[in-house]
Amino acid sequence: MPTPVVAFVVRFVGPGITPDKVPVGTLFRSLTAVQRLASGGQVAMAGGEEDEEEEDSRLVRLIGVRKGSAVFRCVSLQPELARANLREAGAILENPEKIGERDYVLSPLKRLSETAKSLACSIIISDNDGRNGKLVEISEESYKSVRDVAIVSGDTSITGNVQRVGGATAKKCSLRVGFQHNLLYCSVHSKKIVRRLGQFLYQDVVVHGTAHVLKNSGKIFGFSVKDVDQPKQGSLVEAFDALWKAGAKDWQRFDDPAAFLKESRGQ
Amino acid sequence: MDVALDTNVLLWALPYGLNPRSSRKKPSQDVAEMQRRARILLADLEQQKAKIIVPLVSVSEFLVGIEQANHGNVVAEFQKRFFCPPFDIRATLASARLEQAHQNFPAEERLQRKWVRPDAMIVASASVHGARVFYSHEAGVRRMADTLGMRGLDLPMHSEDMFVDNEARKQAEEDES
Repeated sequence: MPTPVVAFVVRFVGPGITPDKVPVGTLFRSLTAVQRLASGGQVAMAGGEEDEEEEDSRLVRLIGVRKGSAVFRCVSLQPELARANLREAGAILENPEKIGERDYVLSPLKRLSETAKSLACSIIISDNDGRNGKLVEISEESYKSVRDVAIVSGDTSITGNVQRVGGATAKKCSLRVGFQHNLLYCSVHSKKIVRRLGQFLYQDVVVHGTAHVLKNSGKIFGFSVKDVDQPKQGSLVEAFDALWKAGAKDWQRFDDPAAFLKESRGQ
Repeated sequence: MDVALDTNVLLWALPYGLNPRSSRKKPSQDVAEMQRRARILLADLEQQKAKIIVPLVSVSEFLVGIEQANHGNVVAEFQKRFFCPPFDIRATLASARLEQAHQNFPAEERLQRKWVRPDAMIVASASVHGARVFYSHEAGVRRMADTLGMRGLDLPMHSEDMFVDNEARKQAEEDES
């Protein structure tokens, strides 16, 4: 059986970093984030916020892990493409304005920056055994530098169906929303709102808060829930009757409401 | 399914006691007929248990025909009964894309310049907030909805449910008598 060729090398570089210092969960999450970067966003981050279903494409696997260094050699089905994608991620970190449509880099960068912070190290991904040097280096600040350029925030309201609420370390919820396939993971402003969301589990809600939107694609990257209520059910005819009584009957003054509406736009 | 309604659909869905014969001039549209079609739409949407989206831009347009003293009550009623998404950052991005795309629409589906922006804002608000279908009586607006991946539909002429059809016709006749 031919020996697999190393496509790239992931190193955790910092004072006193050895494989036994890296918690297995952190390692798992970090390497799946690297896998997402290497795949150019084609592979979801297992165990992550992006997808409910964990996915193992076997695109990137570990090889030759040795004691004494936190170095993880990876093989890839498409080594050239993996290196090109990682090089691109490196270019984005050097100049975040280059992110363009490649907003898939944000989630893995966020996770890798969290790892870099928690282990007080940087994560360096190099070409095959480092012969051609560094492809990308992720530090604690990497995610923030790209996020500040790629994301705009603003208040809005969205509807969704509550799928999960709670969290041991942070107040979170996830919503099934109509405008994207994946669940929308949200942070929640207060315990009081978490409790209210809990009352609406598997029900439709309207959440109000701040959306963090990817500038280039318009997709919601994150959402902070500040308030929640439930859409009212009931007869549509009754709803229009109620509007009528509330003041919409004033439209009756116009012989030709549609024409008046058009005229009002032109003024 | 999430369904968005354009301002003109809201107008026809109101329970007018409007009598077209009292008009000093002939209305631009057949009021009774448009009301009949709106009633069919409401009944169909009710049967589908559709969630109704009325963008706040549309609510704002709707208010122009209402006395100022009633504006607050009407807005409160909209928010009680429908999902009224604001014109937010995502809608801003989608609306700008739509205005640019509109320049390439076929001539017969192109809207007058003064209507493009408010229509684009309404359609974009509905789209980014998850509407799958957008009802409008304007062909250009329906084309905009299609452009953003929704299904742009006109008010239905008939319902698949004959009882709904009959009821709508009966009410139209009562309104005219």
